[in-house]
Amino acid sequence: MNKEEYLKKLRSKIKKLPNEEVNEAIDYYHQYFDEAGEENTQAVIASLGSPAFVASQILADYATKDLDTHKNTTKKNFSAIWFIILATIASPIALPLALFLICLAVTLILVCGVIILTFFIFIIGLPICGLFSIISGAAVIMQDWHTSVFFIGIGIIAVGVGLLLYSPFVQFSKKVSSTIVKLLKKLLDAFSIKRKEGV
Amino acid sequence: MSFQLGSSLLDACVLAVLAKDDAYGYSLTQQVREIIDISESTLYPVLRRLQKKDYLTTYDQPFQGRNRRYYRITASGIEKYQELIQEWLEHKRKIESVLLGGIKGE
Repeated sequence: MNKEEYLKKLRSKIKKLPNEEVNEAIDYYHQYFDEAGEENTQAVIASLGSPAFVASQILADYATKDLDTHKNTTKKNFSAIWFIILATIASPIALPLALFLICLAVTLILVCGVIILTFFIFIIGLPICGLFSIISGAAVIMQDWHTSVFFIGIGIIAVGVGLLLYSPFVQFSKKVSSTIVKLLKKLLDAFSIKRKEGV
Repeated sequence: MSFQLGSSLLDACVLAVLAKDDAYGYSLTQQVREIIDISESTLYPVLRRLQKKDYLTTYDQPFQGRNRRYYRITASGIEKYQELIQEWLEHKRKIESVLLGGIKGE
């Protein structure tokens, strides 16, 4: 990793901070590398720690500084919590945290899976019930045509609603699953980067 | 060093170094690292925080075709520095009275 790559990674890790803060930090470390001299770049990187580590220090300090210099509004607290979470995620991940993240991912998948399954059963079940309703309606047509019309009508409505809901449902589940996949990929990327450059 | 360095003590060390003379990030880090074993990336957040509290100001000076950002202690920074020294002396006295109690005692 050279200086430019290092600074680029650092920037991407702290980009949630206000622009001014990001630029200050990048300027500082840019100068820091320059002062150390090009031949010492690798030594400086080794001594600074991974970009993730440097970022976690900046984020953590920004969060706590915000807490004691400003009035404690809920919004400020939330933003502080957010920065602390970011800092934790940016820092090299300890095992308990990794476990926590995995549990979070599993829970997310389970909850979304159950919701999708419920919809799926509903949407599949509706036309099937409709079909049975139509069949039973047709079966009694000789005895009582009023009942027959009633059941066939209900059946057709159920099949229609089921078919109507089908395509939004497919879109919805695609969206949910792709969001989960993207989220997991982000988490995984974060893990593997840390593994490679752990401090 | 087996003792942990709290953040206000680190603030005091930075202010102490700057009270002697202005310094830029790299040289400041090296100076502080001579006395305390800290990671090279520890100081930036400290400097930024002290700057936000108006204990430090910065100014830029060209050096060999590039820019050097110097940190200078302000009047309120010096005040803070003296306050921290007082706190440190008090803290040191208390700690020592406990820590050295074992060998001084009769």
